[in-house]
Amino acid sequence: MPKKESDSTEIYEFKLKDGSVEEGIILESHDKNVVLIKRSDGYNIGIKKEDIKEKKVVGHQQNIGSTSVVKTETKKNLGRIGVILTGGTISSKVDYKTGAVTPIKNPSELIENIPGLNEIVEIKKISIPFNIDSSNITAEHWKILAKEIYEMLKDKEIQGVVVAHGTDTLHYTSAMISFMLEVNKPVIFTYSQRSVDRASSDAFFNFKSACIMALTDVAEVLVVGHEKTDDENCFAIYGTKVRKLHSTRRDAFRPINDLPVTLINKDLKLKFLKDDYNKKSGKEPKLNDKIEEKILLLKYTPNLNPKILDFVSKNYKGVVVESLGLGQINIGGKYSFLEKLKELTKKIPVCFTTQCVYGEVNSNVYSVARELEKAGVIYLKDMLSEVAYVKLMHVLANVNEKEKIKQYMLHNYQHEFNDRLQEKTFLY
Amino acid sequence: MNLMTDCKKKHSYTKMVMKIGFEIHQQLNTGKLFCRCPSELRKDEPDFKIKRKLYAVRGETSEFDKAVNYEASKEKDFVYEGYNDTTCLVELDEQPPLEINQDALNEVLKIALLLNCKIFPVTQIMRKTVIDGSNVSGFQRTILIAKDGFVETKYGKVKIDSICLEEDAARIIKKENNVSVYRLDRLGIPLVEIATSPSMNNPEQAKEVALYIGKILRLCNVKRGIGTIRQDVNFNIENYPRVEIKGVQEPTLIVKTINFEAERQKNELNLKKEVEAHVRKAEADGTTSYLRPMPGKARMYPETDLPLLKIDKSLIEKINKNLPKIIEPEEISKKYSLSKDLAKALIDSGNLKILEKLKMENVKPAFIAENLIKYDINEEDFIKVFEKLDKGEISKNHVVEIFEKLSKGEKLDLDEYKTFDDKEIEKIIKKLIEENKDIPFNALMGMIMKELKGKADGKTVMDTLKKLIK
Repeated sequence: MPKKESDSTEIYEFKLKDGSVEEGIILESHDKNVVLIKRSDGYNIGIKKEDIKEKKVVGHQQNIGSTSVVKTETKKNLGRIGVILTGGTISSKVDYKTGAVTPIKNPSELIENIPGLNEIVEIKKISIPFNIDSSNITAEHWKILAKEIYEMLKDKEIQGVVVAHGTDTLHYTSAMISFMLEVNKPVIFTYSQRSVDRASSDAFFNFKSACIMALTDVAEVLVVGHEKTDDENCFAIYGTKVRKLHSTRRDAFRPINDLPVTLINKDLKLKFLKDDYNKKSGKEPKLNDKIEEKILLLKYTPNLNPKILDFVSKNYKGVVVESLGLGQINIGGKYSFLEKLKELTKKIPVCFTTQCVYGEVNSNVYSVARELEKAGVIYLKDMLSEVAYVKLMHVLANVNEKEKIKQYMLHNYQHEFNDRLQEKTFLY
Repeated sequence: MNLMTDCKKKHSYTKMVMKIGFEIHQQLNTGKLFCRCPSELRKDEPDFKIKRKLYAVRGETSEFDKAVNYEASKEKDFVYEGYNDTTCLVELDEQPPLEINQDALNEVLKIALLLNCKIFPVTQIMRKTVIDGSNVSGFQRTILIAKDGFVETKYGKVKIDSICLEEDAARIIKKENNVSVYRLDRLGIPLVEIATSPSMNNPEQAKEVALYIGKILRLCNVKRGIGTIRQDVNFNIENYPRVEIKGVQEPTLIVKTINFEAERQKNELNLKKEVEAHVRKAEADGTTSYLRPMPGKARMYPETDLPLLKIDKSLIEKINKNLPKIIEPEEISKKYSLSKDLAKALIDSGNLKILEKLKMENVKPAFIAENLIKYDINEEDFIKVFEKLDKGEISKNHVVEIFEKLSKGEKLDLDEYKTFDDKEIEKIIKKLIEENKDIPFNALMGMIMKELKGKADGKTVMDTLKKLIK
């Protein structure tokens, strides 16, 4: 029987074995032994299937149309941006009955998600190339996303691009996009740590700040989000100098070994803290979306057996070792990496970063490091491990000469190096 | 309903057909509901402040909720005050909730059983949208725990519709311009919400139910004192829409408040005013004032960061076996030789259990009871002080000082109040006798007492002195 696009939901009455009665509409239950219902007072309760004596339909509840009551009319003469949604909480809406989260599909839904958005920008184009949990990101997604951004960068009517992305891999993506694209306009990544169903969500301020940043003349890939736990300032950080440093806080993304480029206050006014950014130009954007996937980021830990390098040598074309402190690993006594590392560098590029997160690796301080450097280990100074990982993916897909690789890895393309580590960059 | 007719004769207001129901909110005396912070209200200056905003979000119905919209249209900034040692990221809405506090759950189950309710074996923790800033997240977590209970009154049975376990909101400190300042100490304290059916039609019956529920609550581990219990009354006369009166301070004010409100509603109907369901605030004198429109109904959705809450039969059985009983003052008065008033005050204070735990040889129950009703001190400290007093390790002279200090939250070293034993007393007296040879007895006695600083009783000192002078 053809069912009408459900304009009502059945209300069930459950008679239970103990004589009591429950009534409500049936919700999706993740527990196969439990029927989950929403009562008329709004509370959800579960009924154990084994307790049910009989159930019957006792009425119907009118479904609420999904048509929006929010006006999506945009003010005139606003800056125009392109928006790309890739997943995460900003790109989703909540089904208030079940709590289930579904991807949003059109600009009006985005404007519903972010009240007041249509008062600050005009969304010229919105695209949803994929909508996934950001922990499922792969190289394929980076290629698709780079292409999508590239198209918007070519669009003369679009002043800047805002990309909404899940938080867990955001700093990998922002770094990869920094290397894949030579941008001629702002490309602003943003996120939220609190879902948009709650009035306290960070999504609202983050997204608006990202839009304002997309209207500037900063032709860079930036990540925009809360500066502190307060709703006082957002900041914009280079896509290669940013890291998620907290699993749940709204100010999780911090600049590492760098200052933010811009502060955006609650009235959406900008304050620039850096001036080393590329300015918008009439130049055409460039896309190079090649990726070598056989790259490994290996975290060195005490007692790690150097035999791991045999596996690396067999299966990978390049490795970033997240080393201790200034660039140390075990090179004396039991489990010394020295010999195997020397062998490995003959075969594939080996880069060192620091697992301290802040600060740099430096091969000059200890003699062994100098020896390893001679053997071919590339010390990536203050580059973040995650950035080194994606940069090596991109570089190895484009060059294969040992010297060239080293030269590319050590060249500062996208602010990935900062040779002036100011005091206040630590724990900014 | 004969009694109803009686009431109609006595009071003019009962000529009106009315509907009364109420909700009681009582703080539980456990740690916070969804984090592991203590439930401690603070008077000292906060360690930090954070600034936040709330935004209007789509309600469950995909429309902006009427009450939500009303608050959002005010466009306020919120400041939240916290403490390093009693506030964590959960209250700041910077971390998902932790598992439910089992102590709080056990306590609410106890209350539900005492009120003859049926407990849901499976229930879901819900988010209820609140956008006045009192909840940092923009919602309050609430759980329907039980239903279909009842209270017997002399006017007949009154149904208990539901018992919920909720988080208390943050405490408003001040409101000025467009900034509201809240303190996070109260946010997340477990609250039990008891809702009666709105079927009562006599204010006296409502008062009786409120008093009875109060008695039940005091049998359980609940917080005491101002602000730890709040009563909201749902009330309307015929042809008037539902009115919720928030924060009736005392059960004894229920009758007065309902009478005033009945008059007000009647007047409005007589003036043919356009009336709508709304929320009013109860004042201390029994009058009420307009607060806001009645919040829409569809404002709840699941707390997706926590699993379904399952309440095992075995847990309910265990709690059922150990339910506290309502205690009558007469019984306690007899058992401990207390005056009836003292016995009643002790039961009401919730500290009877401390007296029952104490096994004293020298300290009299009446002395203990008087202190138990006078001071707001935790059980452990009470027991420690009385035990030391019973063993003679501290003197009765210092008890007032010790309790005063403890109730102000001061940290004490009870050893400082340690009494001298007989040998020490003898030694001190000998020394003073030698130093002051030609001094009269009474003056010497005075000097000794001063030296001992009350850490020995007068009789022992007198006897020792007489013995030594001989």
